[in-house]
Amino acid sequence: MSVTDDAELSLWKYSDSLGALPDEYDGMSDEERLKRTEAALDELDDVVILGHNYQRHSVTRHADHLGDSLQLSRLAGEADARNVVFCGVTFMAETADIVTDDDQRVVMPSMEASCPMAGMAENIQVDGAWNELTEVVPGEDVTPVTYVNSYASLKAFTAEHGGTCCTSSNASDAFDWALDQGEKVFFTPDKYLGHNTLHELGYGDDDFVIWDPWEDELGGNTPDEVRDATFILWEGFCQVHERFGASDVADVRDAHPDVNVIVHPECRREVVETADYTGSTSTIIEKVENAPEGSKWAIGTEIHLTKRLARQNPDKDVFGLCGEECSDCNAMRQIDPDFLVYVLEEMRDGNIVNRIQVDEDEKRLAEKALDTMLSV
Amino acid sequence: MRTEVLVVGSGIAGCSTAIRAANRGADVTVVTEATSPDDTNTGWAQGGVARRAPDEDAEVFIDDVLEAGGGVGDEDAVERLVREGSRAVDEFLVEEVGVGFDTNGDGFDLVREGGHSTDRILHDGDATGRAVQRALLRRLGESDARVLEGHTAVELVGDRGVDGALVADTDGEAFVVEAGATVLATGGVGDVYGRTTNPEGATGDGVALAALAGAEVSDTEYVQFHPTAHAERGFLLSEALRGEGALLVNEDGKRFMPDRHEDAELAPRDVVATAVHETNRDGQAYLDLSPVFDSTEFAEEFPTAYDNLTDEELESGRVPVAPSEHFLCGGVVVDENGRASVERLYAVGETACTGVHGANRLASTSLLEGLTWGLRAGEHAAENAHEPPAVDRESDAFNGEMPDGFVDAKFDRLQNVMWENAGPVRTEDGLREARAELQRLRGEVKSYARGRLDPELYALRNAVLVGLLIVEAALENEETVGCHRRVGTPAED
Repeated sequence: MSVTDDAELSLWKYSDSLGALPDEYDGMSDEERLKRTEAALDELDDVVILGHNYQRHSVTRHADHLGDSLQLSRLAGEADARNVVFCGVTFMAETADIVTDDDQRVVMPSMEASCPMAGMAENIQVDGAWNELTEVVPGEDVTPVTYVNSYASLKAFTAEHGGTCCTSSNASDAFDWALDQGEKVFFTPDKYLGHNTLHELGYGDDDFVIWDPWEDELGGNTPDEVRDATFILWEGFCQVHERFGASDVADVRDAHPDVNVIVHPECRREVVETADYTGSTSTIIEKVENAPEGSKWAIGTEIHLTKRLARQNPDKDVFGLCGEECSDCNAMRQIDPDFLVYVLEEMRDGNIVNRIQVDEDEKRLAEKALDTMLSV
Repeated sequence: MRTEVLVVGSGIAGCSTAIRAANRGADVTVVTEATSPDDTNTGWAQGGVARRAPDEDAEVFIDDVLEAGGGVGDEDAVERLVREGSRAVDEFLVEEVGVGFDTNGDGFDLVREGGHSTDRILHDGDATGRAVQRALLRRLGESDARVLEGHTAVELVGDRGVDGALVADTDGEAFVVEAGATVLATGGVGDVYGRTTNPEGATGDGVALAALAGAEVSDTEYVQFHPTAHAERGFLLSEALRGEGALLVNEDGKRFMPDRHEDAELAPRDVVATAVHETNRDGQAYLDLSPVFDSTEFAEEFPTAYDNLTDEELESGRVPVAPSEHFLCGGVVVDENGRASVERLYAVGETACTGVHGANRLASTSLLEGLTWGLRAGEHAAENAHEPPAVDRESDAFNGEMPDGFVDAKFDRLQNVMWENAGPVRTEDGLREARAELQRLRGEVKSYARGRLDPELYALRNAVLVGLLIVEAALENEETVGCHRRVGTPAED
């Protein structure tokens, strides 16, 4: 048993993978789980396992590749393997299905690993919002920009309306590009990433409105407010990054005056403003790896990434910006290592379970929005 | 807070449990979301309480219940329901609680509903549940039980077994109630479907909480749809109306039940529900009340229906109807004392699966079941209640804000999926699709609920889980039986 395994990070006591897993997979020892996973993999020569940075160690130790969502999808596309086991959340597996060949099959260990932020922008809501919005401002003046942390259906919507996808590292390029296409940016689904990005481009708090899809009219705005805004930011956020507050930054500075605070741009504006650095997952990793020996780093992102950085950089002091429990991604932790054994053993026996398949039309459009992103 | 017996819910099952346990000397705490008698499923029961008619051979009633249940009910449980339950109606409901059922010159006025082979149902006009609920709450108020209104049990707590619950008030303030025994009596699952005869707030909390605590849940594919709710306004048009002669007709005014079943309008519920559902596919089914107008003093005998109908409907007698989610036959698997498969946890009433209903429930037996098992659970819990252990459970709520209306939007999504795929008629493809959708939704909702002690989010989390339990059971059971109707499978012919 690895001392750094972090399976016990739950806020709640009960394991609640009800019914999703056959009983015989319950209560395996870590040793047995490891043995069975490896045995299944030995017999499977046509499979690649992709592990997201936010996955726990007992999952990632089996991964052929580790990375963020887009890196992993690209690796899936480049891999020759017939079967892709994606240890991440649903929208990532969808993206992998979009970029892989038709004969490649993308499988998730658990179907309940679904990103709540992606779930805050359901297509039916976004379509409704778009119709309402374009009654107030001409559709040709608005360009949708969609964060890759979204369902394939939303990416397809983006392509349909001439927009582009973006990641947390190229959001400002995407915004620039969109403003070349028209006057306004309609950004979904992460309001904090949108807010931080517009500040990065020199815009301010007078330049945007928040579109709350659960409000009755115009996302809670007046027609003039919408007309005056350059950015329309969807009311959505990451459950993990939203939890960090400016007080966490102040507290960590009090406790460690010489600390470097680095946070993800999905954090609230107040956190980004008070941090020393802001950057995507790969930026955070790079920054810490290249930091001088003995330096201190408080990381404002998902705890499993923080813990991995701490493990991999023993010469530095690396820790989370707030307690462990507050920055644990619930969706990511649905990928229980027991589930990995289950899908691999089923696969070995010829059964493909939990396959993620994006509708063909949606796939074509979503791919277009992803391609546009690469060209901006 | 510490108590010997914690009861969650205040319908007939919860009240019976609490009153009985308190009368046996236990320290009882009732946690209920309800703030008025109209907030419980019991309060909304229009039919009545079936009980063995005087001089009736118990076997006849037992056979009626088993037959309605598609022959898969538990015979011992049904025997208990009929013999013990009938006694409990007289000794507890009438004598101890003081429910005043309608009488005539010969004693109680007994009526008959679909599936019953004799007149054996006690009623109070057409609002029996209301009368029962009010009397029970009055009696509960006179007992020593502590009642926490407007409170929600959001999680069960305890290590090996259940030792109480984390309880939240409407402001999201939470505290642990440590209990020697915990009884779930939270009623039905109407909000899982949206169109329902249940009052708002029937989110299947007890089933979800028990499942999350590891208790066995079974028979959840058996969801009863009331055949005749108002197609647009959703309220229930009681079976008693058909008992008094109301007819089901299509748009052309032609009766469609005689071709489907020898008992026509009084056929078992699932038969009528399927017929109405199918008639509505390419038209509209109506309940023709004119025969009832002719045979009864309508406004007096059916005051609830009378109040809910428009002048035009009362004039024409034609009321558009559609099936509506009514009752979950399955639930938390319990023994003869209401004990679930997890230590110190009980479930009673609609939340429980006692085996009485099998694959379908006979009209006017739900109150009887809640009463019978409620009293048993109250007795057993009081006898066995011990000092609860101290529970180490910090409330680590983060309570981040969620956009207003968020929960409603997700409920809409759940209800659409359920009605489309797990309603009165089900297919394998539809159920598979529903399962994938609900698993995704469940994953999202778990994240939202985590660390936020908002009772609405917990209700959503519970409803999604119950939806998933229904879909999974419906997928597994390929046979059409009782109120579970699978098409495109061999059993369909």
